[in-house]
Amino acid sequence: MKKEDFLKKITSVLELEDEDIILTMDTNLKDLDDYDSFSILSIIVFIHKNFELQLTARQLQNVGTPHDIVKLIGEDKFE
Amino acid sequence: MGSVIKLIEYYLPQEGISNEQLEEKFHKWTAKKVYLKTGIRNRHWCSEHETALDIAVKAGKKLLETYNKEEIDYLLYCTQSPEYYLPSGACLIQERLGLNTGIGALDVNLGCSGYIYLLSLAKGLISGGIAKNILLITSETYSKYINPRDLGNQTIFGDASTATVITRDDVEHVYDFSLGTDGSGAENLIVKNGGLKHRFDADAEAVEDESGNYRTDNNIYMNGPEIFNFTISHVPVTYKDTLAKNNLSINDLKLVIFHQANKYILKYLQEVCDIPDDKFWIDMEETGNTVSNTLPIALKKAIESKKIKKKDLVMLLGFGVGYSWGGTIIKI
Repeated sequence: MKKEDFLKKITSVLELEDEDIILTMDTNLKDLDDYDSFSILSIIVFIHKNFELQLTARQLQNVGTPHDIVKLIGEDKFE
Repeated sequence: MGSVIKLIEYYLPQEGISNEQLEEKFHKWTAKKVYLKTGIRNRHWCSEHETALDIAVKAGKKLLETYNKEEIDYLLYCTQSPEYYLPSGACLIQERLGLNTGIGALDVNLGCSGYIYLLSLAKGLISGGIAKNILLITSETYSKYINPRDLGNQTIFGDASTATVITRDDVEHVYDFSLGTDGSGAENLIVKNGGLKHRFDADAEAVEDESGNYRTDNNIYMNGPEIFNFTISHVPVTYKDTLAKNNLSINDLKLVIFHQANKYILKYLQEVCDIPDDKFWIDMEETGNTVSNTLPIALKKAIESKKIKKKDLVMLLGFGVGYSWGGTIIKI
């Protein structure tokens, strides 16, 4: 997956399209107003669906940025 | 010799809690957002002095309007909202419903998998020649465990009760089961205080979680993402195993009813299990997640709406707190 596509999908998963928030690889997700356990659940679903990888809630609770998520998934899965 | 589900009734408490009320109370999520996240518009909660046992009796009375109570010879009561430590709720229900004293009665402490386990026990009691007409009651009031400042769990859980009669029949209508238990997940869905290990603590401190919800150890705690991980690890496997144990495929089934946990999770499980839309039941808009009640409520609604009729095969699959899970197939 291309990293820009990954960012677009994470933007969609977190329902940020209508909120004028431009997500970058270095955005701290925990600073987003609506980032909560449901957001973490949504990211777990997204990763399971697209990478056949099951991350734990704890792994994602420690995540700050989309770049951190990429590292959890593995850089080799991205172009 | 076999067993068959004869009748199902359910009861929803009077008090409705709408998404609009939650929006007004919390000023966090709009009513629309609550619906989009959960697939729920409304949930019913018991009033302060109404208990799970009270509504269990109401569901039971509703059923006994059309079934002769003299015929009931066993009562199984599933709840995690007990009236007392002791005696068992089932003994109190025997008295409140005026059932014969010559019956067996016991409680089952399970959550969202509870109805499957009631069916498995009833099948065993009937096939063992121990009982002929068994009353199964599920009743739950998780609302009483939720902290008033915990929006997350208030959006999801509703109270309800159901009553089912399962009787002996010449033909087996309750097929084979796939059951599972894994206590390593206990901490992810728990009410920690109130038992004998940790007594109820009136001074317990309310702590804010990363989602802005407050709760004390007297309240229900659910780690949603971890519960999802459990679900995705076990439900598709149990779905396949239930089919395999009965030598059936999805083509043989008229309907698949999973525990109505959350629309978002159900849609994903449907996709992973590759179940067509017209065979997959999602209906929790007006009730929310009512724990052990979702399966019998769904079954009753599917019969009433004529989605399923006599002789149709239906899969029921429950999963949740414990962890505990199980699936079976029934012939209507």
